[in-house]
Amino acid sequence: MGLTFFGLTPKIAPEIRIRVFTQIHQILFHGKGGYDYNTVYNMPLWLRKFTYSEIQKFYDEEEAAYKNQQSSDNTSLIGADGKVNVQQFKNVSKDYKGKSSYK
Amino acid sequence: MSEFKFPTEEIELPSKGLIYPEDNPLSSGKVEIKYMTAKEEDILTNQAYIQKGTVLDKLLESVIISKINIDDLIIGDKNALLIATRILGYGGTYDVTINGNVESINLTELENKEFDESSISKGVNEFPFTLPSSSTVITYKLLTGKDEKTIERELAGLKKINKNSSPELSTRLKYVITSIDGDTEKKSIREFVDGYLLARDSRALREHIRDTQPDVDLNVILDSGEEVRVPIGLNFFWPDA
Repeated sequence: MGLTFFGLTPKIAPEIRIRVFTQIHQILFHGKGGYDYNTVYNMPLWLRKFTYSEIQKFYDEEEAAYKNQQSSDNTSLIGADGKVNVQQFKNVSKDYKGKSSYK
Repeated sequence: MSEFKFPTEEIELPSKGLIYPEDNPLSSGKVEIKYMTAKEEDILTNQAYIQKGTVLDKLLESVIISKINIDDLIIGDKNALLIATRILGYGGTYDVTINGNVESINLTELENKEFDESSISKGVNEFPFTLPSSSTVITYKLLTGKDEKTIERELAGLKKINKNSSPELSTRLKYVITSIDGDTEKKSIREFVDGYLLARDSRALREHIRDTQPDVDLNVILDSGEEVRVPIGLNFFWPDA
């Protein structure tokens, strides 16, 4: 006479449980010490998901910035490691080939 | 570690609390619930609760802030609280497959069913009904969680005696009916259901209860114009499952 709710089966439940606790772990691990377990465990779901997506966004942006930095390093004569970028050096020195001023 | 206090929501019960005794907090017609957290997801994935079939009761016990006993709730009110819990946990959008098409249903648009308040004596969970074929005048009640548990126990006992019997319907009716022509004796009611209640009358009573009991109206009109009852599937509480 009432609603019939179909919940999780004992087979799927452990899989979902791992997903929940993985998300909590990632917020704690990547949250730069800003969260403790109790706080995340007791967050409303919408807030936990928002926090997780913001952290994910932050790391995505950081990765993009790092990649961008790496690609700009390719045009620098001296790389981030302090070594001469041989390929780039050759490229920019083409225009000066045979035009040395000390002759 | 101090616990953050997050806002709660007050949910209006479909019964408006009219059928609960005045000394029961449910008579206010409102129940305060909190937003779902990982604690509730922990409950929903608890193997023991799933196997015992108590997972949704445990979920409600966890989210309800008001000092109520969930076993006092009638089914329709319980349904409203479960739907509200889902909306507060995962939002109002519920994507479900109906007739092979994925339909996006906005759960926040579901309304409580209209019911005839004049048929209720405040604080009394008892309603009169005349059986159409036999013209017997009976009174009936809306089953609470406590009644459901008693019925489950009785059914389990009956199954032990006779594994092939299927007494679900008649056992339930023995608890639903509270008097026969003014006779409130349990023995009389049991005898009536077992020996005198016509199948046509039994069906008419069940249909009457289904149509008139306070509940959430789960009928929605799809874009195609078809009216359907919202099916409650696995992704009701697990949209990402």
